[in-house]
Formats: sequence, structure tokens, C-alpha cells
Amino acid sequence: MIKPLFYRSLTLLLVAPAILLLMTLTLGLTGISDRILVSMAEQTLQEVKKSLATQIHDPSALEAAIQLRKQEIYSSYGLDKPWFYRMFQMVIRIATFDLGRTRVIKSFTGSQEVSEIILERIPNTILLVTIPLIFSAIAGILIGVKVASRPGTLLDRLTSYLSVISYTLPSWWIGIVLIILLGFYVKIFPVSGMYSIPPPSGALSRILDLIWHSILPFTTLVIVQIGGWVYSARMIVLNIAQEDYVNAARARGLPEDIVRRRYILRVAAPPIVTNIVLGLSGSLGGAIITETIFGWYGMGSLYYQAIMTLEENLLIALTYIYTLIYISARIILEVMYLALDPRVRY
Amino acid sequence: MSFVREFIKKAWESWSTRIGIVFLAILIILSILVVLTYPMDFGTRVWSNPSYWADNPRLAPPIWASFFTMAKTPTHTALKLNQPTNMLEEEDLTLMEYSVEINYGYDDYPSFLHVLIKNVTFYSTRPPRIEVWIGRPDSLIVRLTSFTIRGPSPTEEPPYRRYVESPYRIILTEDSSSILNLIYSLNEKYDSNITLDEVSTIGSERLFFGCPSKLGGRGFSILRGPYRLYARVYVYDGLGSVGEVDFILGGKTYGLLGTDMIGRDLMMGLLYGFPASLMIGFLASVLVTSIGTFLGVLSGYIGGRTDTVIQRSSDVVLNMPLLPILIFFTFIFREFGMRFLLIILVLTAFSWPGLTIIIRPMVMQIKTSQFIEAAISCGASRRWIMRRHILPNLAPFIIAQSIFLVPSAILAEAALSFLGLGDPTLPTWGQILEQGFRSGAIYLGYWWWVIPPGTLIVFTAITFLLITIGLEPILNPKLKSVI
Repeated sequence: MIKPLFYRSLTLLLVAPAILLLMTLTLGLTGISDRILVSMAEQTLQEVKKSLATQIHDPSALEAAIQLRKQEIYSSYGLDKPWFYRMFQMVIRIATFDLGRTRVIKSFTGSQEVSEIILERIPNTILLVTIPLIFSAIAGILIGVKVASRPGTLLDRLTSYLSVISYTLPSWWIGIVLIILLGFYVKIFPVSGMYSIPPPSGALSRILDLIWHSILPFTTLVIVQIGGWVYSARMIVLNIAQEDYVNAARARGLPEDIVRRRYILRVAAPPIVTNIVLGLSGSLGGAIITETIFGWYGMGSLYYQAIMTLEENLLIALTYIYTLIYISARIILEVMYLALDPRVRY
Repeated sequence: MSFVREFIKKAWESWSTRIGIVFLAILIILSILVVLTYPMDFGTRVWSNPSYWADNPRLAPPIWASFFTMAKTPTHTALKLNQPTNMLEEEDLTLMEYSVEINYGYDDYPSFLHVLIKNVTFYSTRPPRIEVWIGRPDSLIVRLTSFTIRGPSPTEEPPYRRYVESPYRIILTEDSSSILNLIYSLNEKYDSNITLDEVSTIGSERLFFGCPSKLGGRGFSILRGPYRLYARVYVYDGLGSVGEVDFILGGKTYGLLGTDMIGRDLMMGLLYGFPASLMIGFLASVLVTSIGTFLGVLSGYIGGRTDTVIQRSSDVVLNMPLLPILIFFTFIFREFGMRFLLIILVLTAFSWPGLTIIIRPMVMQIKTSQFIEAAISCGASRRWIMRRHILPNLAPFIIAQSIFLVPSAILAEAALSFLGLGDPTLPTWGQILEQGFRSGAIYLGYWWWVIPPGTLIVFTAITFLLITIGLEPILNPKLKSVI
């Protein structure tokens, strides 16, 4: 029983290095990595040239000095060796959580350490993405289980249609509609950002300001997520309710309440828990588009910023961390499954 | 093909599938109409070409939007003349007059006034001269501007042709001669003292369609009534001609769906989005379904090491974060052109494992059935069995899955476009939405720029989802009572 679990976990662990390799190979093979570094090296060289020109006046000596410095600079950027040496080092470095520094993007405190930038953003993402997720999961599952106990009724149909619509609605779409309606026409919520400009003084009013700014994104995410939860909870419960052993339990004359609790919900729990854990781990990656729309400084908008400015280090580190969070959740689930569902045997 | 008939019969039983299929039919009919009527290179030649839209008002809301405000806003009017309305011929001079009447009764000023001259031909070395006049309801007649067409160069042979490729455009509302002439005439008639500085702050449309208010000071009021706009063309050879003269009154509203920042008719772009998104959705779905099914069948039927390799690699790919990876690859390879194909390929490369993983156990189940055993004992090859026995059994399930994949591909493309990674040669709803969002449409209230494209994306996605809801019994045969 332990051995297959070990193999599955090992496969999942492979995902992280696979992502790292995929991204570095792409950056290396397309020559983008070289291009970024050459432009950085050239920029440094320009400054060096200027300062050298003030010190050395003999043209040939100047040229020789510049050539010497050029080689130094290029090798300091690792440009004297082919890209895969550099990339290989980078993979090892990031895999061991030495995330490196950025070129342009800075943290709010001005640091260029990738790890600091990411750590700073995580609470913002939790606030924006994780809280609505927990809310809609709890509400959605409660509704889903409730309507599933009476399948086919008007309420059930209505809920199902609404949940399908909610599931299809992209978050950016609801975000835009809400911003136009409640931010532009009825000016009761701010259209963008996390704090007012200038931010209010005092801790309490700052927190209130933050809550005021997060109401629109919160509503948006709940609207688009709750349907999925209702629908999946309903489907899981309905699927189980049609199993033979449930019918058998009813035939034995067990009260409906016991049938529901012990025979249906007990079995429905593991897949629902799976959804919650996967949703939570996925949410830490941040909602790239939602954060962009609401001008929220989270992990998602950081990823977008990183790709637009081609911050190699930040980009790869971020993807690596998303993946790590996700696969750790998957491994935890594999273990939890054994505990939650007595039928699971590898 | 009996399984297809069976499939359709089963699907048609469900209400939601029926609605979905009707919606899909609408989408497909619109797409076909667009493909038949639009030029092939619509994206590059029309949509992304600012000069094509130069005579449209910018950021104009749809016509029907003014019903809510009850005000009569000027609608966009283009008056085109192929023939002169008046002609006066003398010995060595022909005067052609192109004249239009506009009965101006709106509650607002227009956004601009353009005159377009197309296709001028002349033979003499003395080029034609053109004058533009305005006759206002207050009996003021003003010569706005005049200009002479560029004369022949020494090497040029008659007939001399001008403005064939693109018309000569006079933006009267920005033309300094017109503005100065109007200021002069208005000041003289109304005894007012309008200055050029003042006009540049309040907008020059007021000079054309308004008069200084009687109270004096800065105010202007709209002058309603019949206006006459005319262009006089003086030709000096008796043979020269003008192909077309257009007078364009820029509306404050435009078309059924308004215009964007550079005056593009949003309805044209949104209509083009129908075939574009359907193509992206279907293409991605077909690719993902074929790869996913192929690998799933292979993995389930052949087993052994093939199975292990396929299952492990699908596990790895399935657990990669899809949107970041999509963004990464689309961004890195964006300069190679054909970006919509790139988006489809990347989408395919990272979404096949879902299907592979679901199909494998189904194949393994079919593999144990007796008809497969019988086929093997008859000497059927593995390929034959997979193609003739296993695939048809999976077909309904695969078709249902592939329909489910269409909206996710459309939504993924929209998401990428929204991040500015769309294909500029193939305008899609996501791109229109992105341009609107980037231009601050949602903070400035240009709702007609962002609400329709978003609604269409959602409508298309819901169409496919409605179809799949009805297919639930096929996807999940155990489940009897679904909506």
C-alpha cells in the first residue's frame, strides 16, 4: 500500500523539475535569455566606456581597456559560456530556493530579492483569492448537498442552471460589469487598487479602507466560483445516491436522515475535500486576470508584470512556487484519501 | 455511423441541449455569413488599419443609447455625390458644384465635419481648384476653404489622376482657414467677439452649427434648420472630372454598437469574432480530443511500459499550472507570427492529459469484453481492434467531451487576448475587450466597448455548456435524473 503511494508522489514531485527544465530550455533555445543578458551587459559597458574615456586619452589604449572590461563584464554575466551552463546553474539554484534577484521589479520596500517580493505578495493574494474561495466553497457545498436531496424539483433545476451559468462566467467579465455598474455609474465602490490614494492614517481606518476596496473583487470571485461548487457537490451526492447500497439501505427501512448522513455524505466527503484542497492550493497562484482588473498587488499580477518585463528569475521562481504548492497539496491528498475513504486500495 | 444517430437522438431528449443547439446554429449561421462577406485579410487591411476608420466618430455610443437620455443626438451622416448637382460651362472653365442639404434639428453639435474628394482627373497643366462653402439657416454664406490640386510633374503625361488610392480629406472642423473664415463672418453678423483661443477650448463644431448667444459673452446656441454644404470645383480643360465628393457629418452616436478609440465600428469587429472564436474553439477541441483519445486508447489497450510512460507523463503535464504556462509560451513565441495557431498548439500541448486519464480505464474495461476476445481469436490485429471495436464504443463519450472542450478553449483564448497576447491579424472578442480595458473604458464609462464582447464570449461558452448538460447521461450513464 505504501509503495504505490510512494511512486505516485514521486511522479508528482517530477512536475517541479519538469516545469523548471521546460521554461529554462525555452528561454535558452529561443535565445531570449542571451538577448536579455547581452542587453544588460551592453548597458553596463556603456557606463564603463564613459568613465574610462575620462581617464584614458590615448585612443588605442582606451580601445584595449574597453575590450578588457567588456570581457570581464560578459563573463560576469556568464555570457562567455553557452547558455546551458548558465541555465543549469539557475535550475539548481532555484530548485534549492535560492531565488536570486530581479532586474527592474522591486518590492514595496525597495528590495530586489525575488523571495522578498514573492513573500510580500502572498498575503494580498490570500486576501483577494483565498477568502472568496473558502466562502464560495462552504456556501456552494451546502447549497449543492441541499438541492441534491430533492433532485428534479423546480428549486433543483433552477439552482443547476444558475450554477452552470456561474461556472461559465469568466471572472474578468463579472469584474468589468461590476466595476462599470458599482464603480462608475453608482459610485459606491472604488474601481481599482487596494487602498485609497492617499491611504488613510490609523490602523483601523486602513483596514476598513482595504475591506471597502476588496468588496468588488470578493463579490466577483464568489459569483463566478459558487456555481462550480454547487454543481460538483450536487453531482457527487447524486452519483452516490444512486448506488445500489444506498437503495439497499433505504429498502431496509433506515430513516432518510441516517441514509443521507452515513451512506451518502460519508462517501461524498473525499471527492469534495479533494476539490477544496486543490482549489485552495490553486488559489495561491493568484488570479492573474482578476488581479490585473482590480489593480491588486498579488501573485497573479506579479506574474503578469514579470512576463511583460521578461524578469527571467522572477518568472521561473514564481512558476516553480505555484507548482510546488500545487503538488504538495496533491501529495497530501493522496495520503488523506487513504484515511478518508476506506475503499481506496492501490 | 449508427452511434452518431443514437447520440443525437439521446442528446435531443434534453431541453438544455435543444436550446444549446439552437444557439449554436445561430452562431454558425452568423459565422458563415461573416466568412462569406468579409475580406480574407479583414484583420490586417481593415480592422487594424486606422485610415480605414478615419471618417468615423471616435468613442461614439450606439444609436439606441440616446433613447435613454431623450435628447436628439446627431447621428452619423455620410452624404456621397457621384455627379455634380450643378454645372456651369464657359470657354476654358467648367464649374462643377456638389451640393448637399442637411436639415439640422439635433440637440447637440456633431463631432466633426469632413469633406472627401476622390478620383480627380484633369488634362491641362493648370490643375483644378476646389472651394468648400457653407450656407447656414441664418442666411450666412461662408467660403470655408479653398485649395488647388497638386499640378502635374514635368515627367507626368495626361490624364493626370489624383486621390485614386486614398481620398483627399479636409477635416473642416480642424481646418484653420475654415475656422478663421467662420469666426470673421460670425463676428461681423452677430457683432460678437469670438477669438481663436476661445474656439480651441469650446470646440470648433459650434462655429459651424451654432451662433453666439444673444446674451453676449462666451455662450453658443445650436442653430437648427436647413444647412447647405457645397464644394465648387473649377476645372480648366473642359474634360477633367471628380469621381466623388463626400460630406461626412460625424455623429455623437454610431451604428448599432458604437465605435472605439480610433473610430472602428465595433459591430464589424464583434461579428468577425463569431467565426474567429468558433474556429479557435473547434480547432483546439479537435486537436485535444484526438491526441487525448489516441494516447488514452494506446495506454489502456497496449498496457505494459507504454501505459506507464503515457500515464506518468500525463500526470506530470496535468499538474502543471495551465494559465501561467500558456502565458509564458505565448509570450515567448509571440514574434513568430500566426499567434492564434500558437495559442491553439500550446493549449493542446498542455490540456490533452485530462482525456487520456479518463479514457484509459474505459478502454481497459472494453478490452476484457468477449467481442474483443472473439476478434483476437479471429486474428484481428491490435490496430484493427482499437480502430473498429474500441473507438466506436467510446465515440459518444469522446464527442461529448470534445463539445465540452470548445468553451474552455474559447475562454482560454479570451483570457490570453485580455492580457494583450492575442493575434492582431485575427481580431477576437477578447482583443476588443482588452483594447477597451487598456484604454480605461471601464473607468470612463465606455460600456459599449467592453460589455458586448464580454457578453458574446459568455454567450458562446454557455451555448456549448448547455449542450453538454444534456449529454450528462452519456458521459455518466449511471446517472439517471439530471436536469
